[in-house]
Amino acid sequence: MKKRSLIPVAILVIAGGLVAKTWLQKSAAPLKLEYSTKNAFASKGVAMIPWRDPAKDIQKIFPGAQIPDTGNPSVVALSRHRLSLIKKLGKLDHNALFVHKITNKGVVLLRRAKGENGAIEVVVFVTQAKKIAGIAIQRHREPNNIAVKLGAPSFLNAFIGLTAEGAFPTFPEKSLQAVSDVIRALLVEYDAGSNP
Amino acid sequence: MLTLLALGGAVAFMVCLLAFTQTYQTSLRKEFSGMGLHLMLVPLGCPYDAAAQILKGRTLDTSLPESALASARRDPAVDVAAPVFAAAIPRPSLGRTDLWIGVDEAAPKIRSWWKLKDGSFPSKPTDVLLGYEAAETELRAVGDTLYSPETKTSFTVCGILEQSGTSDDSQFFIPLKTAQTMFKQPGRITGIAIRLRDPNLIAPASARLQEIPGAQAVTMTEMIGTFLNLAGAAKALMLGVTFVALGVSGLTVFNTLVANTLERTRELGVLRAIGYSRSALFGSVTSEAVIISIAGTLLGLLLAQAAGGLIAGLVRPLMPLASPTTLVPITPQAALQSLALTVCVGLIAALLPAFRAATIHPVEALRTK
Repeated sequence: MKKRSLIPVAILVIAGGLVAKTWLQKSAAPLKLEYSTKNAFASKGVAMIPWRDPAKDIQKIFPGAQIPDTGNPSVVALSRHRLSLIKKLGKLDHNALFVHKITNKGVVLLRRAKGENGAIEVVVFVTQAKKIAGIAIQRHREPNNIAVKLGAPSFLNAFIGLTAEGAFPTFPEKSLQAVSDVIRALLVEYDAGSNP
Repeated sequence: MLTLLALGGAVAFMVCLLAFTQTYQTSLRKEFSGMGLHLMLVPLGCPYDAAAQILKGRTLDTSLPESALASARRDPAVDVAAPVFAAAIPRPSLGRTDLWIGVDEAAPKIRSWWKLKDGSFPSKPTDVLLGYEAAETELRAVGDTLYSPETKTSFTVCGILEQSGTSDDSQFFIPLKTAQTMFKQPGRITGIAIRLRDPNLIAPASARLQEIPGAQAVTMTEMIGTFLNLAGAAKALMLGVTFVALGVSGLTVFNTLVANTLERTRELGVLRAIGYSRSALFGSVTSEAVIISIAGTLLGLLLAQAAGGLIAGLVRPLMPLASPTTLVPITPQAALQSLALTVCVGLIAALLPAFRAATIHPVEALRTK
C-alpha cells in the first residue's frame, strides 16, 4: 500500500523538476533576436532591395515576359568566388546575390549605389547570354541637374550589350559613376555566381 | 487521464493569459517610462490620437504656435520641454515617405534612448542627424550630403544614431528653425514633449499647461491607461472563457470522484468498519482531488510552455506596443496563481463525493455488490 502511494508522488516530483528545469534554462538563455524580411529590405545597400515597379520595368525592357514573385528572389552564392571577385572588384562584403529570374528572358538584379546626395536604386536587366538588356533607376534623391542625366537615354543606353568583361563607361559626376560601378559589380558577381 | 487533460488544458490557457497580461503591462510601462517624458502638449483635438501620431513620427494637420513652448518652459514644474516639428513627404511612386523632424537642443535630453553611433547632434542650420535605418537606406556616413528633392534643400550628415528599435530609426532630424522654413510653417510646432522635475507634480502641471491657448496636455499615464484599458477588455473576455473551461474541468473532476466513490463503496465501508473516522474518509477523497488538481496544473504548465510561442505569434500582431521579446514567459507568480485556483476548483468539486464517502454506513456499504 505504501509503495503504491509513492508512485504518484514520484511522478509529481519528476514533473515538477522538469518544469523547474525549463524555467531555469529559459531565464538563463540569452535574448533571441528575430530578424524579419522587412529588415532585410531596409538595412543594407547590398541586401535585398525591393523591386518597386516590376510591371512597368518588364514592359519596357522584357516586353511580354511574366512578372516574377518579387518578394521571393533566387539567391546566387558568391562564397566560392570570393577571391576572384575581390581581385576584379576590389572588395566583396557579401556572399549572396538576390536574383529575380524572368522565364525565357534572363534575370533582374537590384542594388543601391551611393549617390552624391543619397542612395540610388538601380535595376539591371541581364539576358540569358549575360549581357545587359537595360537599366532602370527606380529611386534617387539627386538634384535636378543630376536627375536629368540619370534618366537620359544616352546614360541608360551606354550599358546595353555590355558583359562582365566589357569596358564600362566612366563619368565625371560622382552619382553617375557610382551607378556605373554598381552595374559592373552586379554583372561581374552574377557572371561568377551563375557559372556552374 | 481525460480529467487530467481537461484540467491541464484549462490551466495552460489560464497560465498563458496571466503571463501574457503581466508581460504586456510590464513592457508597456517600460516603453513609456523609457521615453523619458511625462506628458505631451499637442494641438486641441483628439488628444490620444494626436499624441500617438507624434510618438509614431507621423504628422498632424494642426499645429501649435511656438509661443506655447516658451509658456511651457516657464512653468515651474517643467524640467525639459522639447519642441517637435514633424513633416512627412510621401513619395508613393518610390515606395517611401520621408519623415523630417525638426528638433532643438532639448531633444537629446528628453529622448533618453538616443545614442550617437557616429558624429554629433545638429548644430548648424544645414545639419541633419539620421536614424540608423535612414542612414543604412540612404548609404550615408557623417560628412556626406543628403538632398531633399521636393524642398530643394541640401544637408550635411552631422551624426548617425544607434539603432533604437523606435520609429526614430527611419527619420531625418534637422534643426527646428530649418524644418519650419523648409515646410513653410515659421513659428509653428507639432507638439511639445515635456519632462517634469517631479513626476508627482503631473496633475497640477497638466492643469496649468492645459491653459495654454490651443494646446492640450496628454499625460503618459493617460496614454498607458488607454492601452491597458484595451488590453483589460480583452483580458476580461479571455478570463471569462478560462473560468468556463475551469468550471467544465471542475465538473470532470467531480464526475471522476463520484465514480470513484461509487466503485469503492465496499472498500469505504470496510475502512469505516475497521475504525476509519468520517473525517479521515473525507480527507482521503479531498486529498485525491488535490493530487488530481496538482497533476493537472503541472500538465497545464508543460502545455503552456510548449504552446507559449504559438500563442505569442497569434497575439503579437493584434497588440499595440507588444514586447519584441518573449510574450508569454511562464512566471512563478502565474504558475502559483493557477495552482491555487485549480486546487480550489478541485476541492469544491470534491466536496459532495467526500461528504458521501464520509457519511457512508458500513453495514449498507458492505451489502452492496
